[in-house]
Amino acid sequence: MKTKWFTLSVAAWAFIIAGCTPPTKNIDTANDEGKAVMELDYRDFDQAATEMVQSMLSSGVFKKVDGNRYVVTTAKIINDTMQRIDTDQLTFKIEQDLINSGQVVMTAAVGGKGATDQMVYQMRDLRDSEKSDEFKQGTMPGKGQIIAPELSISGKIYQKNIRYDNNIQQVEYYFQLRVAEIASGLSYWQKEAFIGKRGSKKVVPW
Amino acid sequence: MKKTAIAMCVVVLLAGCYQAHDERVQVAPGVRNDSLGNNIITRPLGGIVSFVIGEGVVVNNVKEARTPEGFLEVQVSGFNQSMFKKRFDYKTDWLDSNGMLIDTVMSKWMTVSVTPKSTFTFKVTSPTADSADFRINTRIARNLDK
Repeated sequence: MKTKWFTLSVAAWAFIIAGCTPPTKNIDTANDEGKAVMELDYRDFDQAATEMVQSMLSSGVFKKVDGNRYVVTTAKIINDTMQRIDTDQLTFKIEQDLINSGQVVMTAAVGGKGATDQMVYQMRDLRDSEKSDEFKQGTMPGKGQIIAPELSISGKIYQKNIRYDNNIQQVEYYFQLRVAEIASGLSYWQKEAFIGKRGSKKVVPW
Repeated sequence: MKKTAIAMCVVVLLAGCYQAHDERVQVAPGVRNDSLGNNIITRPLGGIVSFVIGEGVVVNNVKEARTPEGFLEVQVSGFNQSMFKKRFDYKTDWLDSNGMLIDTVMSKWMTVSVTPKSTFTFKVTSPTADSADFRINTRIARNLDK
């Protein structure tokens, strides 16, 4: 009898605990009114990317005198925060809109982390290997075909933690980007986007 | 007679030395000189009235221009009629010449914060030179510190 009651109470508790678990829901990304978080989330990257692209496009930095389009690469974006951030979260969005703007062409052959598309070089390795005979020669990439980038986008994301008062901390995030001409080294455009958060000192922003 | 004189003095004190200035410069209540309708006594009442009648933000002007590269730039200007700070998000949807939505990361909610009785201006740039029209939506901004 005791065992039966024990089993029943355990089952009841399990049922109650399961009932208290918040259900998983998809984020309404078009109208997300979820709470702010101390770490950087997708809304922060969206905001920073929007500010950056808007500024780049309205500045006219990508207007080439001869009417052609600049070839652009993304150099190193330094993550100087306490979080493990893939900086592509920021640069991918920016590159996407720059390409769609029709103002520039992004190169996949060079970049801050190496070629963004490894296949560019893998095909060349194949061309120079003995397996090359397996391919129709006219379809293989020739030498001297890769277009070098003219402009480079580089930058840094950094974080600063400040004690606001005894219970509150302030976390500041700075997104800094610049566009430089590779040939001359001159910087044509730069911008800093700022995102600041205040919250409990108990929340660790990393 | 005495009462009238006291009342006159009170009115003069409440009126302060407010002088009209260049309309392009908005000097917030409490920063500028007090006036008869805006002083330490009437300001809280004004706040209550503003809250009750639901004063908010009005858009006074929407300007459009093309950049030399062909991007459409839109500048929205307005005024916060309320006695309270107003914060809102806006999102711009860009349409091409066929009225079709242009997919862009720039269609995201961005925040504007306007102090009481002050003007505001924000500017948006289209993602492509093909953008022909736009739609701007707003919502109350949440998740902001006081």
